[in-house]
Amino acid sequence: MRNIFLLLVAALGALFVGNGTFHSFVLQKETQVFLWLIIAASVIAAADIFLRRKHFRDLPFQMAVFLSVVGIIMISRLKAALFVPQLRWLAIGVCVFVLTVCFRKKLFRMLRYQYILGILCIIVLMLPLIFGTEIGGSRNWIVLGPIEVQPSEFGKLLLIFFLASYLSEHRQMLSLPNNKFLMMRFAPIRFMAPLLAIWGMAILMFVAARDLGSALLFFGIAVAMTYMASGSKSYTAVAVIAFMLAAVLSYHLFGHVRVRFDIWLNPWSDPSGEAYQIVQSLFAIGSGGIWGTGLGHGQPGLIPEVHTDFIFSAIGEELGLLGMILIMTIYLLLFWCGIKAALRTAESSHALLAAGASVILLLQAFIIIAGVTKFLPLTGITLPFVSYGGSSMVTCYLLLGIITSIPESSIKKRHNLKQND
Amino acid sequence: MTGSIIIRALGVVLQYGVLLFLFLFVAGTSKKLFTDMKREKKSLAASETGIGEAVLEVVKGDDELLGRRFAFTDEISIGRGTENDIVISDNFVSHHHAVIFRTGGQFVIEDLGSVNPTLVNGQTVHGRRMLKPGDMIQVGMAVLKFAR
Repeated sequence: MRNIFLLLVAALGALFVGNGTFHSFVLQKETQVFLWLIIAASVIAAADIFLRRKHFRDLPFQMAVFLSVVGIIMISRLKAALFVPQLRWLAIGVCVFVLTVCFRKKLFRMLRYQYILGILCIIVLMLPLIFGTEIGGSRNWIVLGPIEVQPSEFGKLLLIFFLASYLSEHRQMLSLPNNKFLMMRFAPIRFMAPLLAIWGMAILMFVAARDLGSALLFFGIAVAMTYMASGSKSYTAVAVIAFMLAAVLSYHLFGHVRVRFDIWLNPWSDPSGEAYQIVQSLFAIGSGGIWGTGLGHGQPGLIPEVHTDFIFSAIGEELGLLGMILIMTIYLLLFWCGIKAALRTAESSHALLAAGASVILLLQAFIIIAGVTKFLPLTGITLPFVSYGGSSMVTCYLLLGIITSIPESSIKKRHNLKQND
Repeated sequence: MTGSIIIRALGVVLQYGVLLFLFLFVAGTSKKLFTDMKREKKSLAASETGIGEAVLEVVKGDDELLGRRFAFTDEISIGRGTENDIVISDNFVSHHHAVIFRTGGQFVIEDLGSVNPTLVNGQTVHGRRMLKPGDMIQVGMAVLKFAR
């Protein structure tokens, strides 16, 4: 914790010395900046003490706070006006995290109502299709007066709860399949139907809401959790084939998908038009080199949406290849912690829940990092903990709360469980 | 003049300080995780014969069984029938020969009315008998060593 605060102080000092806009911003809103810095820091310190008192593992929390601090540093450099709102979201996120850990028993009780969870999940995902507003090219926002919510952020929470309770109850059914089809084995169709519905929803979102990123994320979670619960490769193979078919079909049927894909294959055909974002992102990463240009000395302001989706390009420009590798390592370590939490518990629904939460965090980071570096077609989702955004910050800390509060069974009990399997 | 140079130098130091802090954090965290994993591995290895668990090791018998270890926590059955936990294919062994189970903190061996006797340290078991670590259990031609 002490290291993280030192990092924050060092970076803000560097920005204050080196960056004119941040300097003038701090001088303008001195009281607000210091007030929110103190509030956020004390909330984090309180959460840290809480975890230690109750003997929870605090490593995942430390990593998340570290990522958030890196995000805040980048945001204060990119859009100084968003510095205070992001600090506020961080404080709210940490509060949500502590509440999740406090009310973990009530939260896990939700796992009993699997079909209600499934139906709620579908309703939440359908909401933007009916009432949605288009912001930034995808129809996944709901505007309620002054509040803008991205329902898919909360939908993915419901999704992992639903999948964890459904899959753990029907695990035997799914892993002892009896229908043979094309050399692959499947469970009876009525046990697969809810899974097929979720996969179908993901593809529908992909096409109708133009929300490629969330679609990929949802699909990935469903496939990964099914595989983790059943241990059967057949489902994964079928899912991948189905997704490929859907991708090829939508490439031929829908214009916006085709544009995305063509930009990915050849961004240089239209560098100042459709491909402007990705080309600027590549320029930024390229000019960063190995060591980066130094905090406050790059030109990441040229990338549109740099404070949310493209924050990783800004990190690449100013902290260089080293900074990028270190950030990616933290996501991997966080994933490792999550999977270890899943393996430590005796109950399969809890294990699946923790594993699902860690898959979300890693997959989301992978999709957006791959997008801005042109490894995959670009899709607009946030970098967990780092990007600017309230919905994203709150859900990420909720997921982290789930990972932290998974009950730990004794080594003895686990050992027996393994033998019985 | 010197003041502005010092400020600029400070700026550069702080900038690369950010990278340094990033590196230190990642290194520290991975080190913690690795030591955690090592400790867990050790405690798991130590628990192979942990509290509440008992082990039967075959010290004499045919090649198939010799040297095998059977760990159990609550109950283990010995006999010629394939449904037993320890199957000894030996004409001197009954179909359901004997069973070892836990009562409280102790393990007890019970002879299930076998034709040939079950011996513990050379003494015939009549009905039940408490086991203590290091006892030698003879069933037919096979000898099993009891350990906790």
